[in-house]
Amino acid sequence: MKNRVATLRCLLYLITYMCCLPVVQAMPGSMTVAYDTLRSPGLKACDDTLFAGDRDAARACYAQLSTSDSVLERAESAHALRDVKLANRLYREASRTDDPYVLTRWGYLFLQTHQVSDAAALFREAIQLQPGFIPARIALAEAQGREFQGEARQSLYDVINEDPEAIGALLLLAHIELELQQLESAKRLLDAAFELASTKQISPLEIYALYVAHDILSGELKNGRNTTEWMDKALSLNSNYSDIFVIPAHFFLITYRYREAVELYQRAVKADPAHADAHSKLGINLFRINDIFGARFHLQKAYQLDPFNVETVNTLRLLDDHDSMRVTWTANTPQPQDKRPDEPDQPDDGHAHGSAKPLARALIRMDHDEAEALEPYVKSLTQDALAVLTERYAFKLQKPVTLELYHNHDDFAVRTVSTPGVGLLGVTFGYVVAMDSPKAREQGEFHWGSTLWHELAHVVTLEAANHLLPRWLSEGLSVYEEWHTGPLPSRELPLQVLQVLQDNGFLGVDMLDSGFVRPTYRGQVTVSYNQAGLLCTYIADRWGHDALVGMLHDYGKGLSTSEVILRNLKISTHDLDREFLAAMRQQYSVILANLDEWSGIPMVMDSLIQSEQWQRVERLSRRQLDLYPDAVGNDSAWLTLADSLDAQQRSDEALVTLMAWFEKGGHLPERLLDLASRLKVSGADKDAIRVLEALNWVAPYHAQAHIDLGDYYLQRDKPRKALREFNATLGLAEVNNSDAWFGRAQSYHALAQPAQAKRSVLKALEAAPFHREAQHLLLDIVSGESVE
Amino acid sequence: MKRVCRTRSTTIAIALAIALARTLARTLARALILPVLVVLLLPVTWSVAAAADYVVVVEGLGGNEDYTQAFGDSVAAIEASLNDSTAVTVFAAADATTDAVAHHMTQLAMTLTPTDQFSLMLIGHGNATQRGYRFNVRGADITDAHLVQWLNELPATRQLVVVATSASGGLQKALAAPHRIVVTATKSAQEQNATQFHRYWSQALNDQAADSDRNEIISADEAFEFATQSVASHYRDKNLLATEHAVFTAGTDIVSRRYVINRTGRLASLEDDSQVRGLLVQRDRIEDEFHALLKNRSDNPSWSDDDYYAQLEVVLLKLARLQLDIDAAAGESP
Repeated sequence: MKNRVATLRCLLYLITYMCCLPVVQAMPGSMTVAYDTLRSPGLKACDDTLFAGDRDAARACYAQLSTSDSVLERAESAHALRDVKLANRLYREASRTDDPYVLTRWGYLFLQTHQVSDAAALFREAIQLQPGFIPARIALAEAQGREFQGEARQSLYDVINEDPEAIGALLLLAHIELELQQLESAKRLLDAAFELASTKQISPLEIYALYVAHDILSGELKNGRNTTEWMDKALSLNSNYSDIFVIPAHFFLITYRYREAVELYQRAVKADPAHADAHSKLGINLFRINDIFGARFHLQKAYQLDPFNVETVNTLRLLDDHDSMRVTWTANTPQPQDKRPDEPDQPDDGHAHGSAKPLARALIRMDHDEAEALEPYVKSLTQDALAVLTERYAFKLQKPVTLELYHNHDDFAVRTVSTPGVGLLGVTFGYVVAMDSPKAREQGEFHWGSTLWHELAHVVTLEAANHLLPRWLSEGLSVYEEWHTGPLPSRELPLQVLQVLQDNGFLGVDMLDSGFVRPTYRGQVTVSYNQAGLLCTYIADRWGHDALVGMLHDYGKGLSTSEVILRNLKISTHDLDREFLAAMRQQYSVILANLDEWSGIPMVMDSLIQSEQWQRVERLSRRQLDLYPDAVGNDSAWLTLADSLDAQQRSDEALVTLMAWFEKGGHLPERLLDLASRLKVSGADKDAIRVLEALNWVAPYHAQAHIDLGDYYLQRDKPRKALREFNATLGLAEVNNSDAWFGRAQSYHALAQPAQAKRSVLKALEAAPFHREAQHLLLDIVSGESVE
Repeated sequence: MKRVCRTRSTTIAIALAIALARTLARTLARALILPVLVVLLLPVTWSVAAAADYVVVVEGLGGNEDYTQAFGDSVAAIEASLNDSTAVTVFAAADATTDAVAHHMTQLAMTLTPTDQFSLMLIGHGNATQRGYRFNVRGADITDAHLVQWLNELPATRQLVVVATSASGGLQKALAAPHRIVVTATKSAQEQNATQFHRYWSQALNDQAADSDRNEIISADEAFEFATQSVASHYRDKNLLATEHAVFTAGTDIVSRRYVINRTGRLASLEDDSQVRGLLVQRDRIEDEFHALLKNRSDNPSWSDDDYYAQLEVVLLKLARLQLDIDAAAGESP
């Protein structure tokens, strides 16, 4: 064990040595109060000077300790003076005594330099040296908390049970309770900490900051007020204590209130222009509310103050890429060419469909290399979503929406930093939606159309509720809209959701947010998304969609969950939980009663398929479908049934089965292509069009599928839709795009636009000079010209 | 599957006809005898002997069942796809030895004439050492020196060599010649992994999708383009790093788009029709104009779109009208 520990320390030293520059900032912009009782009197004196706002005196005080006999004091001095390299060396030297407190303090150095996992390793090492060592356990909970790990909460309750006077634990726990919207318990914890701090004469600055957070979440800070007594108190103790704004701003962020967070960060950098983290967060969140210039300014400032912050560096890089994206706007009324493609039977008469009311416009940012292919679909789906959602929530957006589609997932990931429990595919920041483009992932890995619909639902519902929605309702409404109005009809619940339902593991509505923000088991975020979607669907089914709209608007007025539910559903949260659970158990009774059998079938099925026992595969597939027909993913029984029917030369039945799978929301690209080709052979053009349209929402980069769809539309005298398909094909930049140019020429010819038709057919022949049909069209167009 | 060296029966007949015709032609030229026979044979022998098409395919050792199957499939696909008028000789299994191929190449060196077209396709594993490239066959391998010697001894002035093996890129320099197209599956001798190129090359020869200009002729450059795009898709779809990068080099005296590997559609059966052939000669001239225009455009990026497309329209209209004549001559209604 000792060897392992020594190796770890050596590694950590190396990492720090390699990563860290010399002194980066003479004094910290942010202050962390050390609440442990083991801090030396000399250090505490310097801390007090710092907390009182006298930085020069504090710097001198810490500098004096740099010659202390205690190696730990010298390390702390270097730490406080931000000489990271020296501090690291001194902590390492001090750690030779195997003192768990030294390791804990060393770990805080890593936390401060944003190396959370390395910090956690040191805290664990300290706990190994002295099991139960409370400062290290609190520190470990802080490290876990920074990564939004759910176990931090229970660890801190355990610490407090052992030592009710552990102020650090009380405050960390209060922070977590606030994140979970458990305002009463948070308040109790803060009150206890405040009393202890007063008794022990410990700086109350952080406690004040958390009181501000409490005020934010309980609605105290709004209603025209932009400050609280806690801010005033903190600033009277230390006029440049900017964490009084930075700490509460976090709670605006996790409740999607980015504009309000930005206001607090702006006050923070005003109070303390050297607060690197405040500049970084201000920059990141200005970016989120689309203030690109301001974002760059503050991120560059943050980088100058703290070059170790990965979030700062990555966001600056993303800003550079962002500038090179292609920008386009949607019109504020649906345009004929922007009609949602999966409506093949509407007349292609050039008239806008749906609501003629003006909609919010959308600015779309995409990478150039995929914009031509994807843009028509993004525009049409966006306009459709905005039209539908504006009407359903009786709320018209006040500003244009910005959509960003990243073809590099890492760029999207940078956009979501510091945002706990967000979906892995898309994120909404007020009027800004960022998401992966279909190119960011393996083909068919995600249904980008549904993701876009989900995020736009967030934009509308959050704005309608002034961003005061709890997480569960915001996500629940988006999932509910995905299921009811989005482009994908699938309602498949993942197996884990069914298992949690079976085990009565659904959280009560009061605690449902914790399933997103502080998950306690793997997959809980997904379970919470589905539970929230089911709950919204249940409410809409039982009390009507308007009840959801009523809840939305009541949350917007600042009412609590129990008030909102009582006012709109005439039921307590407790009763809602109970009746919802009963309804779900009833709705899914068949699969829940046979869950073990159902989940075990795929293993048996694999061996039957391997040994080509198709009749047994058919029987077993039918049994699966009896139990749970909603499953349409990779192992769907619809697909194994179709395969077994094909193997038995019953291709007509296989086709019917695949269509049933499609109608249930099946969307595996290869299967959709296969289905479209079968439908083409069988002459079912109308269904083939639907399938090819559906393919666009999940895998829009199949050139031949676009060409086939374009040809279908030409045959059905829908040249505008055909044109969109051929344009999309051209956007794919295939090597030989003669067919796409020819299709485009035919479309323009049908639309009586001869100049565009001729240029397109010349381009078709430029790519393939012997393209017979294109030659005929060229002759046709030219003969028309001579007649004219 | 046991396979042997084989020559297609139609090929034998054609080869015999060619040999006979050439012998007769030489004799006639010298002595002017048997004038009746000349009258009877000339229309046929002139057209064939003027530009006969020879293809030699060698299937190397697979080393295991999977590769043996894959190489065999590719060779079979090549053999099946080529036009009947092409003289195809395949060396496979026990007959694919250096000696057997060398013997055949020596015979070809005596038979071929400068107007002939000759293609050599090696499908299998290759490797490169400091001593040079080796194509792995039963017994002694075929080396780069063999290939250079064999090809240089052929009188045919239109040659294509396709080395669809690992490490083949190192051959590019050694095999280069003004009258030769050299295709290798890899860009260098260092790309040593087994390649996929042979699969897609063999597929290209009979896939209309490879006929990118839609002239019903699969040329060497079209087949290469199809194969390399397919190889790229193969690695991309499997999310693998590509370990092969094929290279195509055409000598200065050869126009790669005119190197016909296969004819598809109606043209496949009409190449001996004199009326069609005459029209195709005209088509070639217009096609040259078309390519000259494309090159001009590429060399002059400032050329306005309107002017360029106006000129392009003139050429394309000529081509389209001539194609109507060709289709009519071929009995095809527009």
